Amino acid sequence: MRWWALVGMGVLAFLPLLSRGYPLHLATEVVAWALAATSLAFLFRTTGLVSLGHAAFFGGGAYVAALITRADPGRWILALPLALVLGFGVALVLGFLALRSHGIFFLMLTLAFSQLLYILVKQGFPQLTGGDDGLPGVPKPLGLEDPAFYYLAGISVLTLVLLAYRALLASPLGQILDALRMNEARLGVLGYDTRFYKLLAFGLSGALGALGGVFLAGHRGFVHPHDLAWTTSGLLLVMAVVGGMRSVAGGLWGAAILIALEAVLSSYTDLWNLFVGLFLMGSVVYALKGRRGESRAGASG
Amino acid sequence: MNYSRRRLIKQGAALGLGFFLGTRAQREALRIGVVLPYSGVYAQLGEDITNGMLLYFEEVRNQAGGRPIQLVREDETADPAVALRKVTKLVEQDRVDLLTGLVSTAAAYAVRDYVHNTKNILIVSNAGGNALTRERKSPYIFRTSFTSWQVSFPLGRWVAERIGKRVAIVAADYAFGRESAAAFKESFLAAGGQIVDEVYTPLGSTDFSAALTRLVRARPQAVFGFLAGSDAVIFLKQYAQFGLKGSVPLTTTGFTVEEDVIRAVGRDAEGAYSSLHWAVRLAIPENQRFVQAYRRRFNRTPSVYSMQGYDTARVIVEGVNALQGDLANKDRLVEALEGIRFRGPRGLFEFDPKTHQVVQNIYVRQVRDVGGELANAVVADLGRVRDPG
Amino acid sequence: MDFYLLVLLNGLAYAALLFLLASGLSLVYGVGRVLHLAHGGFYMLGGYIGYTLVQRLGDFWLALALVPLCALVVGWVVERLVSLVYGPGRALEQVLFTFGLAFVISDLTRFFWGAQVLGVAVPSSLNRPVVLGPLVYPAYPLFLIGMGVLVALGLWASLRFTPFGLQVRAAAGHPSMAEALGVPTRKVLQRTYLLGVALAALAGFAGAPRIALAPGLDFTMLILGLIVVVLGGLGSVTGALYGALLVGLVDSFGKAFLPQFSQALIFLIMALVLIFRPEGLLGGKR
Repeated sequence: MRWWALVGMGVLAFLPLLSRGYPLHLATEVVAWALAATSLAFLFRTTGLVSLGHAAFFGGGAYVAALITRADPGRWILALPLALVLGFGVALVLGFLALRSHGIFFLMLTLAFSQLLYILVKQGFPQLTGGDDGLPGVPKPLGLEDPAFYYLAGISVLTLVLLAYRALLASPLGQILDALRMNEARLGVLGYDTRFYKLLAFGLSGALGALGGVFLAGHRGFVHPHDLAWTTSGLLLVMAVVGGMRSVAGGLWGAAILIALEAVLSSYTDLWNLFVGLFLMGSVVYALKGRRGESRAGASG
Repeated sequence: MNYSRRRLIKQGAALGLGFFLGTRAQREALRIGVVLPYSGVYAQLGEDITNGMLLYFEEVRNQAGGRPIQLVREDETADPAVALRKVTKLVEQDRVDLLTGLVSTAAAYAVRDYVHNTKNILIVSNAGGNALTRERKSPYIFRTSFTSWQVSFPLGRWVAERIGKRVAIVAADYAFGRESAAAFKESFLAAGGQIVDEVYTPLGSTDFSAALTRLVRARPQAVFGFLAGSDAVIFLKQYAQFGLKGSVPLTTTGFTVEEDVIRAVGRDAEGAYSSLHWAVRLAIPENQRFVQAYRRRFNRTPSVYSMQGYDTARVIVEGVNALQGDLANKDRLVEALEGIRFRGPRGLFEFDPKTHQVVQNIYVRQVRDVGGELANAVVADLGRVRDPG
Repeated sequence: MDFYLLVLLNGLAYAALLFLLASGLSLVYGVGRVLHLAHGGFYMLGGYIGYTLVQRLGDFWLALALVPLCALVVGWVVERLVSLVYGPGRALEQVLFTFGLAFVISDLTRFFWGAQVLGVAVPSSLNRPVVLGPLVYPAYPLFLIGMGVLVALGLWASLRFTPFGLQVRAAAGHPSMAEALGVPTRKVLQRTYLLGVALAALAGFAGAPRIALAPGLDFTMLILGLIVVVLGGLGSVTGALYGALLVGLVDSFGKAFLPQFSQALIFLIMALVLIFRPEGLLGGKR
């Protein structure tokens, strides 16, 4: 990335602080969704697997944070690592069970797991999880009560995550993970334990998704089963695809584009989903046209 | 009936402007933020409430306290997170003077802390979860609609006394359904009734045959059912298909036999009893005038949600009138709203100053065919009901 | 005993609808490797178009015959659009494109028909109970079961004995080989798509007397359809049949005995099947 693009992004990141209020609220939301969308794109980039169950990590992280910190904001110290560990652990288990499947079957398997969690939270233990009313009253961490500080903390975390992602891709481990997506069998023949790397990628993705959820819970001050539903997984997937599954900042762009689109459109028309749908269709056609041009150039050259 | 929000705002502003030109220098518009579902499963409720509000605002020529009224509509969708986002936008970007709306209870709970902490006035025009009047009440939040307790509690005793002492319950398995069933049971058991079976069905059920068969086996004298929307349509049809209509009276809350539902179900809904704070055929002049005006304006029979929108608009206008349009002091506005009392389509409307919940009559209605049109007719007035808070 | 029979019949009636919905979804995937996420939209569209036809014509059976035809017209136009993303290695693009299409159909339906709950009345000839031994059962679900069986037989026969069926099987089994042998895969895919859309719309209308029409129906049915095809194994009609039976019966028995967790039960079964048979029940051997 060029330096001016970085400067541009930096300026954009600090702009919401000037106006505060609504833009800041939206920008903070973008940070939360961007973390989760990045985790989804990371999983695809490294393993070639597409998940339709990432709401389990996103919403799951949010619920863990809500359940622990509601009584005492001081417990944020505890909630954050616990959510990350849980996200990592659950992803490992899920990955272990799902290792043999791929493509649409993997997609549906992750969907099944996340929907099970969704129904459990929504109907299983209403006294604990608040049922379909959700849990209100989630405090922000001590010292970050001001929305501006909270946003700054989020954007710093996001920056660190993206930098780490980039460093990882350049590292030997990143090379192995890249190879995992492109040709798993060959990597196995070369003596690598592909299962181990797959699980590792899955675990990291789960932890990152949970991180996004934790941040979301503190931002909004409540959690709701909707955060675990398949529509949330679907939105995350759309964000990751629109932003670009392979680029490091894809999740961030996707989250920013979709949240901005939804926020602006829904203020002007009740049929905003129609326009979101048209946008999705149009962006696919546009991308395909672009790629066709590319491949033709490649063929002639 | 879909129009862009921007157009709506322009219409409102133009009407206000036309009225003010030539009278005196125009005062700043009264900006009302409306957060209602205009897409998703609750879209019809959002439209009905909006239409009810529009009707009242038009009746007062789009002005309150000497200020032209300007509505800023935002789509709540079916996601509480979006509701919070929209409320933030209305307050911080559009600088609205007060907020109203919210159909889903979860959304109302979600925005509650923000509204409370920023001391913005919110007039809830539907969401009926009990907690908003109880542990999560706020001095800045008023509610013109109902609580699940308020609608279902009075019915239990009536059923025990008039219909039968052995009742089976079937309710949709979500917070509002459970709260409704619990409130019904509370007064029904106290009046000596006996619950012979209880079934909770998942939201969005397509088939109630199993639940109905289970209920029949318990041999109840009546069934209390709470279901809404498309669940209610399917339930009522199957209730008739199983031959229960006519042999086992169905009692329910008014939402299960709302006018929309009756239209979709047809004859199968006939005979069902329900409790609600309003009925199309409530025979008081205020209501007859409202129903007629609504039909003329929108070419549609009003629903209870339309009525709630109408009364909400009236509450806003009367509150603003009492302060001559000066809303700078929120505490004075709270006081003014607390003092509101009028006779509307549902009868006498007043707020409980302790909870800011409307105190209202609850009626028992029955779906009847009058002149070839099915609608809810009032069969009993259960008197004024105040949520205990 | 009669209670179990009743629950069984309910499950079968539901399975019939799911089969009609899912067979098209499965075939389109089999022939073109296209995951058609707008399929639930066509189910819902069928219901709404049928509703209007019943209102206008006043006859359920005429509407039932016309709904698939209307769906063919709409499907023909939409297929032109979807064909932009046909092709191997475009799974993500297809998901995004058809998901967007589903949003468009969903909102257009709400635009034209509004958001209120709409119901289609059971035709008067079927609006009566039938005595089945010890059991009194409504007639309409029995009609649905019969229709499901007929469609299943018809699909089986046409896939087995017609040239179109041969082409479909060839394209689904070995796409590149079929192409090399001169099977017009592009055209076969188009016809399969239209067939699938017509069946989905038929299911949407036939189901309307039992499943009320309301916003959100499309995505509910889409998820159910996906579960059915994935359970059975993608690409085959037989798989869709088994999947539909499994989901229909699990749903019905779940609702009878564990109402709160009946939805969880379906996802649990899907998870278990996919863990132990990662390509569905009939996956890999069609």
